[in-house]
Amino acid sequence: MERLRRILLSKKKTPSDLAKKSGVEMRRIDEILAGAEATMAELRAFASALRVQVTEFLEPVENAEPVRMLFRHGFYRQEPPSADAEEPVARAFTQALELLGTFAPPQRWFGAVPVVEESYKGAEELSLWLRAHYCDGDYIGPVQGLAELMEQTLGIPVIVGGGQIDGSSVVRRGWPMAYVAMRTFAPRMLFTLAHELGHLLVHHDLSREAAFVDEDIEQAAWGKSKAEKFVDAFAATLLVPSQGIGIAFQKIREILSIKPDAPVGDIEIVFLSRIFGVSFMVAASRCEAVELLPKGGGASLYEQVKKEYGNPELKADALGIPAREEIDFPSFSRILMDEATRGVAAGSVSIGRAAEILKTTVASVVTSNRPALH
Amino acid sequence: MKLATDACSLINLDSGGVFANVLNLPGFEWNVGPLVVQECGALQALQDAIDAQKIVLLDDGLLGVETFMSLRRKYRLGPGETECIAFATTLGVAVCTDDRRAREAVVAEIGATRLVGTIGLLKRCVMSGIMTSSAAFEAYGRMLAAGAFLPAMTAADFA
Repeated sequence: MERLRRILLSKKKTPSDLAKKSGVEMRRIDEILAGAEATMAELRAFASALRVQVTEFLEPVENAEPVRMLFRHGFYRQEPPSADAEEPVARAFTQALELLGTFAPPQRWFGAVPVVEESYKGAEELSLWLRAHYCDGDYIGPVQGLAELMEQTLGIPVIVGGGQIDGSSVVRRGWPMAYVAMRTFAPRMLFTLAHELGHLLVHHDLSREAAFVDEDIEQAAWGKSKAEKFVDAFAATLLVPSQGIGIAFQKIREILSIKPDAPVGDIEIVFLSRIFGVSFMVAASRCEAVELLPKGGGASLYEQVKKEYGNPELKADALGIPAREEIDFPSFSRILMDEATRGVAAGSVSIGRAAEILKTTVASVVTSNRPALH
Repeated sequence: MKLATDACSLINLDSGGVFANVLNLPGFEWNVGPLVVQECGALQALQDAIDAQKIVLLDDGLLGVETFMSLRRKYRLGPGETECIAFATTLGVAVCTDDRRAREAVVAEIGATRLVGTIGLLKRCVMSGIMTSSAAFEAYGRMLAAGAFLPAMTAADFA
């Protein structure tokens, strides 16, 4: 059973480990690995022992090849990701399409996106346009509810999954979709999502199928294409707006009793990063862009903080800087759930399959169909 | 009739407040597979029924992965729904499901005579005197209010 072998490898477990943990005899595991048919009871025992879903052992029923093809022909791609890395993302998009209707709803924003040059200035123009039209003209505050904004206001399904690839955006069958991998540091996920939104706004065309794959969102800028640098700048200017930086700095300096003319230090940047839900380096890069820090100043401060405290978060905690606000990533896409309930009612998808794709419970799909919610 | 029951029908029976009544329906033996139990999560009524041996846990050591996978490829259902049909084809049991797509798959695989759903069970409860027709219709209303995917019915349908 090839999938069992692959899961054992990825979990760094041996067949002998599996035998001990699952209670299935070693001889039987050898037989199954050599091609003998397993029973569903044995698969459940393996799943429980390896802490994965039973379905992980089963050959996928969906054909993710069309999405994989889009990945392979991804624009601006420098190095293609490995097949193992792209599998969970390709499967997630393919499964999402199983729930989505055949016809994508018209995207109001498409066609209204201003044409901007692929520069830092252009990226900031684009982020201001988005804030003007889709954030109630708020040019100052954090956008920690970006996932909800993309889903509810822009009509873009946001899928949170796992795996090595940080993020991806795709247009298929007229549906724009964004994927962000679960990470322990939520600001990284928020930045990835903003980055994918940048791709969807500028680099995708809803009439043409295409995909972007971002394996490592924190990859050094020198290794990135112009397009990737542009969407990084869009993400940074959207999440940490210039006007917001000015107001936040005034407040931070009042709170910390720092003189207005003192040079910007790591404490203000740590504070700023917590206010806007971004990493230290994103906050620092924005300070450089608005000339509160000299070029390269952010990296120097980061190295200093790392040396003294291990990482900026530990420094923030040690200084008693208020904790980050929670960045909300819903456990499943509301758009996909709404489409799933329509599909279940129409018989195009079953409740169990919808729950499996959304990685939720059958009860949750039923609850989503309550009349009061429609 | 020996039934393999899926998660949505168990959830609907619970939300309709008729779990216990329906389990007392004469002529039915209630069974559930391990994947359906997983899908039901913390459905207390199911756990209580299993503890009280009103519902029997089926042995999926009898189900080969190939049987399961061929049904999954053929009908693209969820794990629990596929498991129900796999038990039906392997053990000869009938299937209880309210899911439209799963019901179509059951009819195609084992025939309509081995398919039941909660509405049919409520009607049988009325016929066997376990429930009044108005109680059955009220239970149906509670299921709908909880989000059940059931067809439109009137009180007269339960009379």
